[in-house]
Amino acid sequence: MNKYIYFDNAATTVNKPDCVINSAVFAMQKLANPGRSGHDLSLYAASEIYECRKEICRLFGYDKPENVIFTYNATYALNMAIKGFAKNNSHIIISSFEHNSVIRPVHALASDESKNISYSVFNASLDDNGILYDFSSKIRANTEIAVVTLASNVCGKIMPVAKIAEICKKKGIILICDAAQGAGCVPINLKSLGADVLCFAGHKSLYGPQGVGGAVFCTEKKPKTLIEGGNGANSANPNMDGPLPESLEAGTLNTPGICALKAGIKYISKIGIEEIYERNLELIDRLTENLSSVKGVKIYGLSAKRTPTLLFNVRDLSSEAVAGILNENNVCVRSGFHCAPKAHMQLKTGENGAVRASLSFTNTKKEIDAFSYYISRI
Amino acid sequence: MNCVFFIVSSVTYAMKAKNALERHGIPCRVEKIKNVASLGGCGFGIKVPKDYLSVAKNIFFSEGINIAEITDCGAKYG
Repeated sequence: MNKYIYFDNAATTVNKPDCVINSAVFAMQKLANPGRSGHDLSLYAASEIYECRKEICRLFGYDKPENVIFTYNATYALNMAIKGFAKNNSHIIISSFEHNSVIRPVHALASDESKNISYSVFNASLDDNGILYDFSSKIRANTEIAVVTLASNVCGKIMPVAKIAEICKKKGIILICDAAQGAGCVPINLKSLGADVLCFAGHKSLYGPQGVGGAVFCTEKKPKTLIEGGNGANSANPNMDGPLPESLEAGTLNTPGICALKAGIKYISKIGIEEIYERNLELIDRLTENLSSVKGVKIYGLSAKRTPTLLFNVRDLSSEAVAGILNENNVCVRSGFHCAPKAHMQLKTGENGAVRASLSFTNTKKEIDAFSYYISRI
Repeated sequence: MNCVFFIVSSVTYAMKAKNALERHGIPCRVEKIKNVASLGGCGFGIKVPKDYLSVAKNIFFSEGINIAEITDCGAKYG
């Protein structure tokens, strides 16, 4: 296999560390169904799952492992929180930088006339004060939920979630934070962040495999269930109620994925999220500086606080054409709208999309310079 | 058997209880209950030597671990 320059880490990270792969293999070979049977291999699996809940709490500065819910991905977690908390005759606020994992469930709720749910979109491209002002201006008497991304998957901008949370607390609004892009590369402390629910993807900067994600509930409020089924608890009861996490975890969990996620989190925790954040910043600053000096390159949505993501176009070429040329040189980026059409509208790339280079701390300066060279040759 | 069985709401709470007790050096073991009919379905609990009954209760209370029921080992739930 050719050596690739992989700058598509916002989609998923590759080259997972050996500890992640070994954990998944171990789970597939040795662990049974957690929380179902009473034999040693089932209890061992349950213990490993609980250890992952603890690891997630450690990473996010939280202290209730039982409030960590495992899902298939961040999209499922967001659907679970949004649809689970949505009430009839209510109003939802989302940012213009949300992914379709937020836009679509909110739109689906609003499209169901029987629910009488509406939503507003605030402008996420402003500075922090502008964002807070615009967010506040969208609040209505019946606003129940706000959904805000921790960091844009399009341009990497880190949103002032803690300040939005302060407003939400005063108004009694449930704040759901989409941390698909921030978890693992931006320091997160749930106690200071103030979000009621934090949704995460396991396979991006947490270095787990695809097929595992989750949500951390920091509120006593419980959402309605999205799906129901067996959860190993209180099984004679046809209602899937009871305490978290089982009341939101119907069906067999992805034990190999969760064990591998635990290993991934340990891997990044050993390096340190602050260290990862700093390394990323150094890399993305270098890439930004390099591309800024290439004639014909236009960069969009730069902000001071950001994940290692850069959005750009080259002259009047389509983003797909640029990504195609890069691929011929074994360089992986993502083009188009990145499942976040409102962000592209805001960043004035709504017609043809743009090229997204998203880095990881495992990338090197040499790769960035080679990438910049390829761009300069287009 | 000279032990008590703390019945909790789920395997997650059984693991939480186990973690809490082990941090305090208290020997314990998570088990699935054997008499599911009397609990109204599957459930889990944690077995602790009887000598630690009161200290275990205090630990569970301080850690927010709700105990559904306490029985002697080998009695109602196995």
